[in-house]
Amino acid sequence: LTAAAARRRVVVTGTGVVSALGNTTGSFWQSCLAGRTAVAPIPEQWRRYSSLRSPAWSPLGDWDRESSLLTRLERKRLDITSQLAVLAAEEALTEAGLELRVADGKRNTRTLVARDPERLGVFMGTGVGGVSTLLAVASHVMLAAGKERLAELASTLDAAATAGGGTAGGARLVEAVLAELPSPVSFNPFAVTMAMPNAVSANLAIKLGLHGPCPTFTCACASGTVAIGQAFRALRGGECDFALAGGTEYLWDAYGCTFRGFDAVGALAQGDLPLAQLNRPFDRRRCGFLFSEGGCAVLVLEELESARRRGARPLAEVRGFGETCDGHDLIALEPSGREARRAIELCLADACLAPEEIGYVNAHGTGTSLNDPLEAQVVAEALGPEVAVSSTKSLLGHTLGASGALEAVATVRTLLEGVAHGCRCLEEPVAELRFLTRATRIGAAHALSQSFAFGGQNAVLALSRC
Amino acid sequence: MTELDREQVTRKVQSILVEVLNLEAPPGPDERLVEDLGAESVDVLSLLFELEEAFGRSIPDEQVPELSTVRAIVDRILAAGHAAGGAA
Repeated sequence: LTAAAARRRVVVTGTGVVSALGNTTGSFWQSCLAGRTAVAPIPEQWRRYSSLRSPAWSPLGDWDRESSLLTRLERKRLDITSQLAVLAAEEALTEAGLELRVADGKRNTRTLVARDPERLGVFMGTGVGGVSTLLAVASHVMLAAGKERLAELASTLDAAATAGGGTAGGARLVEAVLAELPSPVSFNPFAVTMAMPNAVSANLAIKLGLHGPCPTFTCACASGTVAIGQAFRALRGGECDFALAGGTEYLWDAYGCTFRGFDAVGALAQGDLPLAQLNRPFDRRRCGFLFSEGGCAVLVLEELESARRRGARPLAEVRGFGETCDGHDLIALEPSGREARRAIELCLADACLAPEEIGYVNAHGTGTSLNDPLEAQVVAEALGPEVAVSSTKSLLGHTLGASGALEAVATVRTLLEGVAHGCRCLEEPVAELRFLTRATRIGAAHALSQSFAFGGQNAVLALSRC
Repeated sequence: MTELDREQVTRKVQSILVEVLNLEAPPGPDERLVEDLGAESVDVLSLLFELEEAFGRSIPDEQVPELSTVRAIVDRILAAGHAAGGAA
């Protein structure tokens, strides 16, 4: 046996999704194949505080489904990034055929039946963790005392107007100012445990009683891909036999602070096109990425023999992982694409696959002016121009730390069903590659899912049909 | 503050404790949160969060150790109500 062949193999046995395009893997994937998108004007209230260039975002919609894994109180003390992860993990575990049993009724925790918890790990990624909670807490701390004084002022002005000593206009003005300063009524005592990014993995481990490795990866837009890649390495290396791996993100805040941050650096889709056509990865008229409210994908990864012993059905095999860093700039890609290309090459070497064996690439494909032509160049150089390419972000927008995991799920479905989704709004491609513009039957046995993040962090997963 | 107000506040505090501590029945007025009802640190934080939202009164951190029984919580909320000019 070669060293590579002697390695433990890792398979995907379940996936779970919460997204703007569907709150299960099935509905998400059907939306992808149908070429759907979910675009809306940004919340009007954000325009009170900022002059914003991008007019569009992708709202998450009705994600908040009933689940016995999340009580009303848990929903208040877990940041939404963690809540999304719990919901996605619940679906992934169910698809993997793993039974949950109540471990502690008071704490509402579960245990996985017939699994050694010391061999079970959690590897989640998130770009900004609980920033949504932290911004809400900050608005309470900064505004609560001032709002009390403004309310007193409104009351005083109102009383003066009633007594004939003034006009009601002052009181109405103060009340209007108050109405434009939304903030929670009380301090959130869970501020720290909701804001810390590692709560994402820790909450899954606590909920399910898992005692293996439990890191959280924050690598901006590559977080989900890195998390899956690192879980793959831990499973292959024997550190654990089972892992929940993926990415989660939630980016809404009452003042649109996070949106403004991306808007300010010119990363977001803008221009005169209709909202539904602004997001157009790999197209010559691309104008930035579509900001997504958030999303999550969780994959159940298992060591192959362990999965076989319990009769689990492998959906796809994780074959390889490569990661590099540009070491160049926090936002701009290194212009030669050398390190992005090297991440693909490292991944192929890790997977023992030749470039020509790759039949499909789920690209990073953001729709930004810098990413797309360089990514197309890198794919052509590393894999040749014949490989089929599409961008899930052309449908879903950019979910930052969740994007790599959602795209890995799309890649798993592509390998499983032999059909890949297309690139929405791709009319004039930036390069001569085999870009898919609609759902297309492809016979790919091996595929890549790749992410090139702010920070210059490049990560590539190789997945194979089982 | 009337006795009726005390009863209303007591019932609300009991219902919050039932949910926070996952109790099968409302706790008695002198049952101790930690020793008798098994409250953990996360439960105390949840309790504070729920009390502040339910009664619109913030509970200063230094007063938290005094909230050892249902009766002590009700006394504190009623006192805060008086200090703020009335019950929430």
